[in-house]
Amino acid sequence: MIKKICRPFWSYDVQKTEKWLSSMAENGYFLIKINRVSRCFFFQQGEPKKLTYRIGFDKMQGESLSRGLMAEGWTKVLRAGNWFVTSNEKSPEQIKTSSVREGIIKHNRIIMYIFGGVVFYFSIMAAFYLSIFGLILFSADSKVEVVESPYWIFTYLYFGVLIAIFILGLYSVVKINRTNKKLLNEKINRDELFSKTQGKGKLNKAEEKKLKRSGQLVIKRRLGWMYAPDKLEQWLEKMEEQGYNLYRVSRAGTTFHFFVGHPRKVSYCADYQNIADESYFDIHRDAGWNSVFQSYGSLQKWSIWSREYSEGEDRLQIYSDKTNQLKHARKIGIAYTCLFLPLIIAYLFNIGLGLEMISHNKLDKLQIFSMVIMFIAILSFGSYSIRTWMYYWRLKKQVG
Amino acid sequence: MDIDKVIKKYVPMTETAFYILLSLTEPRHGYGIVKHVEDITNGRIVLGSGTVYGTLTKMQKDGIITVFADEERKRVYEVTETGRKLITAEINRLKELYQNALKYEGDFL
Repeated sequence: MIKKICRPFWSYDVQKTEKWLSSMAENGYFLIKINRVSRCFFFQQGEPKKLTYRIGFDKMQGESLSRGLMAEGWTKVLRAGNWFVTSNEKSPEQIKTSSVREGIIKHNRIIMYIFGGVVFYFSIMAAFYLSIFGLILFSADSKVEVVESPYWIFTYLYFGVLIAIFILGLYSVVKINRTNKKLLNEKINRDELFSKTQGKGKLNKAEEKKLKRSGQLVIKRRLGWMYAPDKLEQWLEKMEEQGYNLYRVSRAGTTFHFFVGHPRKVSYCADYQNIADESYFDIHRDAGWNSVFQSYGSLQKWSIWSREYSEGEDRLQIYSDKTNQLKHARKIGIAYTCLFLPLIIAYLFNIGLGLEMISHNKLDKLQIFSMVIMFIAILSFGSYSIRTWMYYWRLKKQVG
Repeated sequence: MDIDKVIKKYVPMTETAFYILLSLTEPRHGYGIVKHVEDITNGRIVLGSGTVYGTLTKMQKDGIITVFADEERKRVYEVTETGRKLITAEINRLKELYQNALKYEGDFL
């Protein structure tokens, strides 16, 4: 006998779905198929059994599981698109290896950003129309007359759909955000342990102020280092050689706090990743790098890594070959060009329109002022993009 | 990616990519790869962690390697069937290279 159950939001909380699948198996229902479009699960009835389920997401999955997972007793139950479901007869406590969560986290994050964008857009539009509506409604000399018509139903329907999409979007953002935190937490315990053993007792604000006044703590600001990360690395290394030991970087990444200490040989690496991956931090930490700074955003991520070395040794780098080094620099150039180019084009277009109006003497002071602002914005955005490509060429010349 | 495309894209392999894939005779952590390559090359090659991470990410996208999480929830890398075929093809190319090197080496002395 086949049983069909629909779970429209199963992929938003995979941990819950996994538990649910296990409880279904305990009642004698075994998953055989998932329809991703209708969001339905199909079960075959059989002898009740204890099973541990694990859901994964991988674009490049083969027909069978990896040997490491098969050796652990995992079998692939099904594949639905990029999703797959594995099951194991062992209990969760006995299982050592399992499929990774990164694919799910990344996939759900993209969905979250899309819905986030929709919710944001709808909120802006709603605020805009409501304010116009309110203005008309409350202005003294206007009369609003509602005409009876059977076609009003379409207006109501339209707004009904809009509100439904808005609620769906809001729900998705909240739910995915919560699940992704939980999925990341599966690993966090170990990282916390790490930061406890690594983190040198951080000072509180009052202590910092005291040290600042006595001149033991020096603060320097560096804005826009992201467009020339090699210069930042050189600067930090020079500061260390002069006896200024980097103590912390502000959350925004623009303020650098140094202790006045002793000269050290430290190599710094500023690294950019398009999508921050949890395993990224493991490999650098294992290799002996200290994380000095990590930027907030989860789509674009900057990190600064440091590592002390002794006088006779070569300066260490996280990229040991020129292919990956250049690829990294190119990635920065492309990312910032993609960010700034659309803005530059839009502003150029606006200025073009404005210039045409100037020739017809139709511009007031405010409009000319806004044109000047746009012109400055074009120059600065353009210079940022150009600086990232200059960094790329510098590197290319250097590594050959 | 099918195997022909993979071979076309990767062969001949860079020394870095070759040693990273060659070290996956058993599943390893990212840093385990760095240590292993350092060992088998007697310290000649010390791979940077950024290089290893970048290469592994690319190889995973192309289906040459796959990952799973160990008991500490840390990533472990394992070679796939495609990856095995790729490294075999590359090793055969290198064998030919090596045999020819031996064969003609004397003429240059």
